[in-house]
Amino acid sequence: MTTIESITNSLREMGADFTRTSDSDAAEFTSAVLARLRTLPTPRRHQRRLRWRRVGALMVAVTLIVAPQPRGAVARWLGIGSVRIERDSTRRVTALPSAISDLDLGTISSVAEASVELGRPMAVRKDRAPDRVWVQPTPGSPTIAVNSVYVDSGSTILVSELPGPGNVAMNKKLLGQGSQLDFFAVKGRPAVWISGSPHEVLVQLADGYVSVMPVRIVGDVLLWADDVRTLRIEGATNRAAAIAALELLI
Amino acid sequence: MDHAGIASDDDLVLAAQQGDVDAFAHLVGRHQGAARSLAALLGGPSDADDIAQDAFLRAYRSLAGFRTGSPFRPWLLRIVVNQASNERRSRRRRESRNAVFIRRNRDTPTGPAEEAEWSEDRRRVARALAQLPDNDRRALAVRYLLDCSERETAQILGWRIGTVKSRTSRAIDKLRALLINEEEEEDRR
Repeated sequence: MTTIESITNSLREMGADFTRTSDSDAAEFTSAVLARLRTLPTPRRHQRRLRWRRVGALMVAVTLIVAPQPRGAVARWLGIGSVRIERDSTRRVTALPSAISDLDLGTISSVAEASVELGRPMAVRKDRAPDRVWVQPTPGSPTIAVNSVYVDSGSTILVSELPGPGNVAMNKKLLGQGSQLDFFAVKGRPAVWISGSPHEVLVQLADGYVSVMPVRIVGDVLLWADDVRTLRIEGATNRAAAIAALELLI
Repeated sequence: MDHAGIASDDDLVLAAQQGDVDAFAHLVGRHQGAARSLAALLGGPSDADDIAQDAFLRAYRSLAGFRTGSPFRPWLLRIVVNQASNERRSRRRRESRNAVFIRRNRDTPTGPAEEAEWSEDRRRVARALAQLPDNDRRALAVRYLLDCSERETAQILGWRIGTVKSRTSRAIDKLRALLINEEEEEDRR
């Protein structure tokens, strides 16, 4: 039982035994799924999705043809050539790239595991679970950050969660010229909408470390903090959309 | 559409994408065993069917985004993995996972002596599995208990193949160490 071969054989046998179900049991389960499924709307057709992809590709092609100035920047952003993501002072891109898996967001994890790493439940949207979760060392701090992404039709929102109440106001002093900072409150807690020229985001964590969050996309960022965490929202098309995304999380 | 049990997963997915609920029912019937087992292994036996049902519903709702021609099973099982993780967010089910391997399929014929020996081995492995970290248990559950290839395991768990290889190897080593330790403790008693 303690050789590797005997252990793997044992696991396979256990699995084979366990996964086998009787016909009646399978039929009962299938009926239960169907009963719930018939209450759902019909899924959107695949063809419709393809049509929108073609429209998107056409729009990008038109942009590249008629706008020589940002052509290089757009091409680089799309990953045409060797560069996939980079800072670009001439063009603001507020949507995340579709190939989000190419970003360095840490180690793929789950809501449960990330919550264990954080020591409390991670922020999750009220209406659904994230499409992907990663854990990542926090730059400048011994703690970890949790990144999660929500892909909906027409929008991709990347959420970064840092442990501890971040001092979001310190960005006012440290951000360079060209960045606009708009301070306000969401649910009575401080928030800042950082827009304008490319920027890094600085967060002073509860342990005193200052985290310089890496620039992953060229875009606007919403920062929000409460007593236990700091949230960073990326990918929203504007401030209102970012606040709406935040409000689903808190 | 008459699916008559010979349609491929690709055909069934295509039909289901066009709103054919019966086609999706065939997919459910075909893959429910693996989905429910994985749900039980990762989420605990008491909630396994709920997790698996939720996963099938989520799969149905996400069919529009399924890339035609891709294998359906890894895609579905990945949804099961995510669903089980979400389900476990509020409650830890480490203890209850022990019980999952004890249940024998009622159709499996076996004698009393064989049953006793097999059950004891199973309990021992189950206890050791329950002590492994989540990612190690996931690796073993998908790779060996569901008998998936390394490529499938990578697709289901969202890992690179190299990660599957290294994590599976380490998990087996840990499992072996736990089993040896338990045997030695039994010998000392």
